[in-house]
Amino acid sequence: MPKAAPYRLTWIPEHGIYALRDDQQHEQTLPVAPGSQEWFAWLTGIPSFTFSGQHGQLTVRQEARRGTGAYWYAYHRRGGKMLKRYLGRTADLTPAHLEEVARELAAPSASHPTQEPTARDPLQGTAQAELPLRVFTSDSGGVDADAESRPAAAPRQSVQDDPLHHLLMSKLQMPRLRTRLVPRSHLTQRLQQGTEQALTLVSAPAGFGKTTLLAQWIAECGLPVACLCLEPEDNDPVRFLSYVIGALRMVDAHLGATALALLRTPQPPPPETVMALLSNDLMRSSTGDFALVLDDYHLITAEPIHRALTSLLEHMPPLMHLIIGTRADPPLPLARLRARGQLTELRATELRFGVAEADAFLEEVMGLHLTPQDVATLQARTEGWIAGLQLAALSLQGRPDVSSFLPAFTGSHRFVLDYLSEEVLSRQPIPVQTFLLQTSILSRLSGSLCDTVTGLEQSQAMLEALDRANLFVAALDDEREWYRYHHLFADLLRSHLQQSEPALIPDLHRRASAWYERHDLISEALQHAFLAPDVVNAIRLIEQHTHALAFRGQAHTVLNWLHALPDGLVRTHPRLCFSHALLLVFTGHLAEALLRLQEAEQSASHISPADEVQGLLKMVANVQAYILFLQGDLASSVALAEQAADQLAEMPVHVREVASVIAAHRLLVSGDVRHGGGQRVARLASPHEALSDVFAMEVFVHLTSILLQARLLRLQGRLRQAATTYEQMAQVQAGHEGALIHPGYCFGLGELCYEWNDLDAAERLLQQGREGLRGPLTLAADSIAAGYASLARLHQARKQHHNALALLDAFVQLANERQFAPAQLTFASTVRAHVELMQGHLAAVVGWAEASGLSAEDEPAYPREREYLTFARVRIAQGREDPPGPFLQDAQDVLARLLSDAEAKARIGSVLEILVLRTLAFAAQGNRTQALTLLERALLLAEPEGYVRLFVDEGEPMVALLRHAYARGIAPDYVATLLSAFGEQPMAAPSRAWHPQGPHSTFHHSVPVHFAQPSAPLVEPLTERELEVLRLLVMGQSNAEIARELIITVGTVKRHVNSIYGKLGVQSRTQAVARAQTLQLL
Amino acid sequence: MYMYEIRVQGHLDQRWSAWFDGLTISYDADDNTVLHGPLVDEAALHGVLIKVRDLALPLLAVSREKADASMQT
Repeated sequence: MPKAAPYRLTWIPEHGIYALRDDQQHEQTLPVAPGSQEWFAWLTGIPSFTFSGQHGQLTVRQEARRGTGAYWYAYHRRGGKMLKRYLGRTADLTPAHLEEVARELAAPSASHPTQEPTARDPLQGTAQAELPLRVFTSDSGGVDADAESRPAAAPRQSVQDDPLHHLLMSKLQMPRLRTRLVPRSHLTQRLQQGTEQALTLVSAPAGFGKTTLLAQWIAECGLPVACLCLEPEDNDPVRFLSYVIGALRMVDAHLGATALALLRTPQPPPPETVMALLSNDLMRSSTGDFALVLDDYHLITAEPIHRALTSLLEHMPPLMHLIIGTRADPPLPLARLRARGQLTELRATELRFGVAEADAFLEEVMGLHLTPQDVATLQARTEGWIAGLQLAALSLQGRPDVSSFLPAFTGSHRFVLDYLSEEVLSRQPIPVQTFLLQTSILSRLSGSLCDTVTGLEQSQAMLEALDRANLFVAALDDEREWYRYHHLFADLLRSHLQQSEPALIPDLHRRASAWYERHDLISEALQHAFLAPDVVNAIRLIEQHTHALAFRGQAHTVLNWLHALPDGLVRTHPRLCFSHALLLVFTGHLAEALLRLQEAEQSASHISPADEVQGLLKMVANVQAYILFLQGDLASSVALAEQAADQLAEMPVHVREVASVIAAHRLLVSGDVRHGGGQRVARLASPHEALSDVFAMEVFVHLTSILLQARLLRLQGRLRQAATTYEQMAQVQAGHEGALIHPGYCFGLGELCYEWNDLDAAERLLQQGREGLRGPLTLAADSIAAGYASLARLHQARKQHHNALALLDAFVQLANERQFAPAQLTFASTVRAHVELMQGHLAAVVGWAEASGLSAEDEPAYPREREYLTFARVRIAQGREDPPGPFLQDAQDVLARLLSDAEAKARIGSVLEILVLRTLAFAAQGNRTQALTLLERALLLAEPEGYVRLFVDEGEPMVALLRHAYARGIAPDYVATLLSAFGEQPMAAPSRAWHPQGPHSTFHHSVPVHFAQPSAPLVEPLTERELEVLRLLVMGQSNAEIARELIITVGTVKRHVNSIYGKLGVQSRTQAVARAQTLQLL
Repeated sequence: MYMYEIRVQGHLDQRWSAWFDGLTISYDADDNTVLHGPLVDEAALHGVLIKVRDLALPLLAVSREKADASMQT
């Protein structure tokens, strides 16, 4: 029930007016006349109100839609059911309209009585019940649908109001049980016993009554059961998993929230990951024993789905039982389960009807009165095959001469099938035959759909009559809205149709496609278009509905269809190229997507009308911007987004927002963080509205803009505010059901913790960020690079030299795998030079500086600032070796230019680092006074934000300078903290008392540095081979002995040993042995 | 392209030929059904086998012979 609204609009009959009252203010009447200007203005500011009109009561609620304004819905409870109606925009809320809706909802004969699955708060309830479905329905009230597939002014009603809701729900329940059934208690008992084990397999050919048996068991088992009736289209892992979670949520509405959120992201993770999350949820679920039934599993052929199910079976909580109905044994580890006694099997032998069951079936269900001999003959001839018995019974109905018919049963029962289907069909009146044949192309049937396909009316009555006549049609929902033919019977009908009227089939599919399109079930429309085959319409559907298809878990399915089209055809359809590219982006194939976008550009001139060419090119630019953004080519990406953003007015709101959030990254290209950029970012990031109606692109836009905001603050040197922004991001995510920790958050906050010298927290976060990269939440390559750089420096801070370099190698590998932009590789080699310099490999680093092509005369641009800073460090190091040489002056020149750029653009973060380096350069030049002046400035700027590693990472020369600063009383508390971070105590007394627990004690930087801790677990685990080598090493074998033992060369052994030393953070064999024992590696 | 022969138990009417992608239907001495004809590849073969499965026809044998030259074009 919606929460009682404090405002009430009431009809006062004695005065003939409406009065608006505020219940919280002692029913004070507000001076607002409904229908007036003030009324509509007032409405925009309130979330809801109650309406007590002349014709009934309503609770009226506003639902905000990002970008498209507010919509209003009316709720009315009747007979325990919550009814919901779409009211319109604010301007539609006239008293007359409210009365009209109130009357409609109050009337028992409301044309579309709607109900919720359970009586929950409608908004809450919608969020819950809708979740598994909104991925696929256009009608979830989602922004995607608002934005493109319907006029903005007329959003549809909620999902429960939609007749198609039943179609989707029907996947999550078994077909209705017929009233008369043969009791099969021995089999339902087997199923019941089976729930004590992990898996029950009901595996038999078509027509053995598998589905009916499962439905019978479900009706009497007394357990909560989640059902999923599979179809060929469910071979898309995203779709399959979304449905599985949807089914499970019918048992426990809290299950799978995280997994579902993952599936809705642009690049969903491997199915095993989703299953692992789901298993976790299931472990913690308070639901008692329950079962998941997957029927018609033979339709699943996608290997990832089999793998996901295998992983579920391997980690299945004891309270869960999986039941699979299938025509063929699935590729799951059945033998292993069988061996462990974890598998119950019901196969054709068990399922076939015995004589007694055949007798009951023919007599009770089919209404035939046969002699025991006739029953025995039929049972024997059909071998108890239920579909065969049913066909035989249908042939016999109304036939006086049973005994003369029976001898026709010769040969095997498959012959019976063939003969009888012919027989059954020819005995139907012509209109029924025609109906059966023409509708056989449909996988589901509704009255309206069949009317369209057959061109007749009264299809609903026909379906009901077929159902009554046992003609292999089953109702899929209690409202008898959707039916399906028994799969076997449908195959029989289709083969008849193909033989009798092959020319008609394309038309039938075309009509079905049109019906589905009218009802906004695009995937089904597309399927029939391809079956027709009607390539023109198929292409049009894909072009028009790409976003909707991609967001509803159909990307893989549509891509498969696209692959079936000739490549030349795709290439000459620029819009189709674009659609293809978009689908490739959503399935993580960025490089292929770029190629398709190029083709779209090249063929764009084919488009008519010509004025749409520009529109398409803007869309192409937008997606290119997105891809380049993810790959870390920030400059090109921002330029493309800016170009696209200004002319996207007519584009869906999320397309515009992607362009504008990428364009906002201009500040990372210019390095200018004064005011303008800040405001723009803040505006994008501030409201939490986006997450009220999440879908993939919105998540991307929202989180990316928060990350940008945090990076802006860091560039401005406002570390604490940046940390707060990251924390807000975590809160926003926590507030959204099932969201994941974003790797951008982990990296960002981890980098801050590193700066504050909280190395443990930093390492935890940065590693978490690395792991998060395997997940689905997209992060731009430059943020990934920055995270890796901090982690490398962290290893270096702990003197884990090898780990620091190995991590940078890992980054390069990742960058190659994901095709990061060259700029990110340059960045990585710059960081490597910095780390090597800290390790004292001056010669190597000088080599880098010479090869980099940087020079002291350059006018440095911000995107290359990191390179120039490292270049300056190299020159300073060279200058220390050779003070009279040109190196220190080179460094000063570069740093002076960098400083003026950083100061002009308010980049305090850069200013600080430059000041520190200039301090070191002056010190190396012997100019201690100048050095200390600059150091003082840096210390004063850095102190409020708690910088530590900024100074500490510069090593011994900085310690010396800080001691001087301390002696002179420059920021003594802060300097003391910094020195303690070096593991130093101040040497001389400062000019005023030093407080070890001074005002900064609450800051992270008061945490002391931890160098390699003996018991810290390994960052990178040892490989199998390395463990083998380590074992032999511990046994005291020499390299040569190890080489002989493992049949490898001594060189290879040495490589393994070095790698082991690196991973263990040790320098010798003895240390390695000790560390292996501490860590209990062996 | 190979010629395949798929033998299923029971007598299947000629009209199923279209359903089985144009494979010809004949009968052996035991009145079992023999589906015979060219299939482009393994995937096409499995497609036919799934149809056999979905009609609940017991499968007796599958064999492959090289297509003659005229079939390869």
